Amino acid sequence: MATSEGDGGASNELLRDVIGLRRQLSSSSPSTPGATSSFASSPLLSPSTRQQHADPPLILDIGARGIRAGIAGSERPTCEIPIAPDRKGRIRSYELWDLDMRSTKIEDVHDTLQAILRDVYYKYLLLDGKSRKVVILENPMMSVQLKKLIAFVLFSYFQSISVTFLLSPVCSMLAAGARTALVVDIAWHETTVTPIYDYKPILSAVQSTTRAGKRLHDIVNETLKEFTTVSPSFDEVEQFIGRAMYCSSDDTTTSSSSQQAFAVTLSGNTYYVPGSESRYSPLVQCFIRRAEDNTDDIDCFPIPDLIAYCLSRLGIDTRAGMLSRIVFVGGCSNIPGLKLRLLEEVRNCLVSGGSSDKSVELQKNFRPWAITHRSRIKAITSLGAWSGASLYISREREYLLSGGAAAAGSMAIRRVRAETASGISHGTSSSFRILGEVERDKFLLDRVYADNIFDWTVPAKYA
Amino acid sequence: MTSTQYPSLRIHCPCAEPVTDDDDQEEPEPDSPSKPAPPPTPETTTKLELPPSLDNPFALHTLNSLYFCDVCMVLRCERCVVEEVVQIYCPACLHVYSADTAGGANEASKVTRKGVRGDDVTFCSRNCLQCPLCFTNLIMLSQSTSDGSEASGTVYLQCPHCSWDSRYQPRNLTFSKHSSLYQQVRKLSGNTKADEASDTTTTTTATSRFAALSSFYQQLYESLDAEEEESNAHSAPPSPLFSKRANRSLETIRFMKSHYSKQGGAAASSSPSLPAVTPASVLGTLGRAGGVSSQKAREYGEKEKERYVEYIDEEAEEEEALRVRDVTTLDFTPTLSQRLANPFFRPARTSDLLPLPTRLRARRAKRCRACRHILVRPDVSSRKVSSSSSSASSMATGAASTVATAFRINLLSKNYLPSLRITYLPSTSHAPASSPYQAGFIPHVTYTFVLTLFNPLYEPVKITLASPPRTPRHSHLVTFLTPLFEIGPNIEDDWDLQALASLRRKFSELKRTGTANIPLSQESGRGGPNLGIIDRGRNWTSVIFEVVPADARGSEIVVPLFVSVAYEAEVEKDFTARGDGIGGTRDGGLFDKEQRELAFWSVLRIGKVIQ
Repeated sequence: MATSEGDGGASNELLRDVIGLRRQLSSSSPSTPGATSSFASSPLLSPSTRQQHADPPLILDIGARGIRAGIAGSERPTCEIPIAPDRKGRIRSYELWDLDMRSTKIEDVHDTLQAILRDVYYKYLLLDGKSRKVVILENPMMSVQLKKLIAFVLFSYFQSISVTFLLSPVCSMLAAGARTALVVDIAWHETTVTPIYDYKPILSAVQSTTRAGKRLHDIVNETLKEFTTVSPSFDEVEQFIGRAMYCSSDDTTTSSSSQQAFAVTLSGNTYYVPGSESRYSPLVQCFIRRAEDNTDDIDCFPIPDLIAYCLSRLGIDTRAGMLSRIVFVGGCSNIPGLKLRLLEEVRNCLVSGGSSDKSVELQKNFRPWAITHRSRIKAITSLGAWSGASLYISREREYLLSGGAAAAGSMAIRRVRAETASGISHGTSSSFRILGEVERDKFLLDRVYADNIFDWTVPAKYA
Repeated sequence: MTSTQYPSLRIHCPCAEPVTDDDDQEEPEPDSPSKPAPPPTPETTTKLELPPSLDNPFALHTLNSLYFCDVCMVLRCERCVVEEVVQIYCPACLHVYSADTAGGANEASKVTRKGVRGDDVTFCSRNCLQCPLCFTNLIMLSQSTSDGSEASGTVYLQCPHCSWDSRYQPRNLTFSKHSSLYQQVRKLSGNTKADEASDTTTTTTATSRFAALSSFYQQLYESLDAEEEESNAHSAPPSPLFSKRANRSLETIRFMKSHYSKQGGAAASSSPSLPAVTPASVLGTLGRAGGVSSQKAREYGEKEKERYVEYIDEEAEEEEALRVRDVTTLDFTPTLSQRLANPFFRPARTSDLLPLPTRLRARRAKRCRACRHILVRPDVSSRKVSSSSSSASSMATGAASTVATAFRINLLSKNYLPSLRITYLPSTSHAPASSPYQAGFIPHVTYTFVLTLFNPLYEPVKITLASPPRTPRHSHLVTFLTPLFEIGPNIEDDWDLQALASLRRKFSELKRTGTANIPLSQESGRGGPNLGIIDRGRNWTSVIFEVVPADARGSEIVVPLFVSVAYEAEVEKDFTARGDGIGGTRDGGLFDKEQRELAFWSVLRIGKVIQ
């Protein structure tokens, strides 16, 4: 086993690494002999950080539209702060970053993040930055630049001891109590579908689509504008989505009843908008309906198709377990009825097996297989990624504090990273790089390390 | 987004440099000043350059929100101080939840938290609750005080602002005890979903689910632990190659073991396909054919897992969607902020809303990021509480437990830097007399403003103003008629009110007559150093500047202004400062005169050019 450090060759060191490897919850991965796996030295609970290991770490779920924060061990985040222009006129945008990082001003993200995290630390959690380790939930599609920026803000301004990135789909799955799951995260910029098999995210099969919160927002904005002839503000649209939208299990049930007008107040005046057209149709248009002539772009698949596509790219044994373990998380998944509808659409997509009504791109890549029972496809509930991380971290911590710590000094939160994006087959052997905590001193002093540590396409030995 | 109030004046903090990858920016050493040096002083004749971050709103602050490090002699904003939580208190009842008892100024203060549970320290655990609709502090009222029999301590809550009442239907919330309402509400929040099955997506309470998952993972870890010990006993010197294989097989054992330990010995017969296995035997077999058994074991693991997975309650979900569908206004669902405000659960209906706990607040000490000098330190001694905040202590139970409002150290910029004030001076000859802030500025018309600077220092200061002749973006013309002048010392504690009153008189007179008879121009008698100075008092001076807006319609007139303050300060002599005990009698005085200069950039937003 090629450990990048611990070159002293002491058997003690090796023993610890072996124990550490076995104990990883998130990375019980079979790996080929000789694969480069390295353990970043991770003193999450090592004796060297004397005092701090009594304090549970802080968990941050940093999304484009809001930040959830709290201390590990609690069941829900202590605060959820949406990103919105503030009264001082400093924060100007409703989203922390744009999907296209080229049009994102990284300085603005830095300043906004710093201002909001200041609130998190001193207004909500009442903590000193330097007293806690930080665990950050990341989407598998999160850009390296952003991760670096988040780490930089935490290290340089808040002087955090260490930063650990956990994959947010894995945490969502942990909060569902499952071991294998297909996590569908309907977030702001993108909806991401992440298959996880045996605690291991199959990163090569992760799919994403831009049919997500932002697109829904735009559609609802257009709809409201059309019906009321005023242009609603951002907040009014979001309120409408959060408070009025619903989703039925199929189109027919809506057309019969619920045609009464819906009263909505926009910029002081009350307007009446048609019920199902404004409250239901945008959802279908955004998430479910295919583009005309099935010409959806590759990054714009409807969510049911994306799930089917993702499943079809998995191995037979892998996908079987996932059918009954679909987890819907993310802000939009809270819209009443949407989960159910998506599940229904996935069933339609998979069970009928008719490849005729699939989009062109999907048809090309779709490998159909026979599912006879609709009831095999099921969704499970999850407490959410934040709670999952809280569960995992607090359990891990408690375990280590209760005596495991002495045996496994280097043991810490670790996670699996794919070393390369190329040729990772599902569930079988692949090479993984395990990224532990990123330490403050190392990050700030070593520039090469800081540049490469979050980039999982960089082989371990350079990081 | 709130519109800017014109005229506004913000001070630029030099710490706001854009994120760069320069090594000096990433200098982690706390002692080395990583912040850029203060802007160059005007005495050096180098060209003054506008700081690049001058239009960054995060870099601009009001004078009152700035601190001043008297070691670095630089102003410090909230972004270049290090904050430490010193004391946590409830803003409603002023009860102190924790205090920095160590009080050591230099060592990192460790806040001890009194909360019973770790998360409880975020909220006031007494009777402070907030209205779920408008977040006002609720008042506790006794149930039917007129009726003697019912007044047995049953209380309810009411909002004094929006008159939300906890007895609203269908909840009809009353509390049997009038103490620790927080705990009672918290308990209710935990149960709220179990009571009503038709509630939102999660039908079980999040709390119990979390607890169940937590114990499940605990079992998992325990089994893991046991295996590890065993494996250590079995394979004492693990070779690297073996470990990879062992990893897989141990995982198998883990799940087998957990499986059998759950079911007990008798239940093991329920799975006849696998005879009773000991971990050792499995280890042996797996050494030969790991893959197949591993797969089987995984299936067992899945079965074992089944009861921890919870499927979506499709009926409840459907029902909830139907409920929302039949709603015709937004009023039945809480707003997003009302939803986010509840830390315990996500209310789906307005009727679900429960009183919110009050978030505690922290009093913080602040240090200079460069030199670690303390800039702000709240006084946390309980002694002062009873004397200083008598009104606060009367509200709470004990004087000792209430929060103090005093500060031990409070180095604010307003005590070091001159405060600036802008006033529009209507000039009859050029511009219309009506306020141009609302109406907008007309291009190519000269507007006259009065800039008044107040000196907070006990020494007379020399002020140097500098501004680019044309503003950076839209090149509006800006002229400061008097770039160099002096302000008297702030010797007496009280303001010299007479002078201020005279200024006000003068202003009102000027507003009537216009600027025609003010000695502004060169040919007037009062030229020379006093050119453009309208008036001066003991520690303030008013100077005039002119703005000629360019023809950039709708643009904002933003004037960058560099202010430099030079004065002679009396400082303690070096040998006394070092404290080597020689004493300051050599020169006959303890103090030296020292030239000091403070300088900062400020941004004046004058107004907008008309469309």
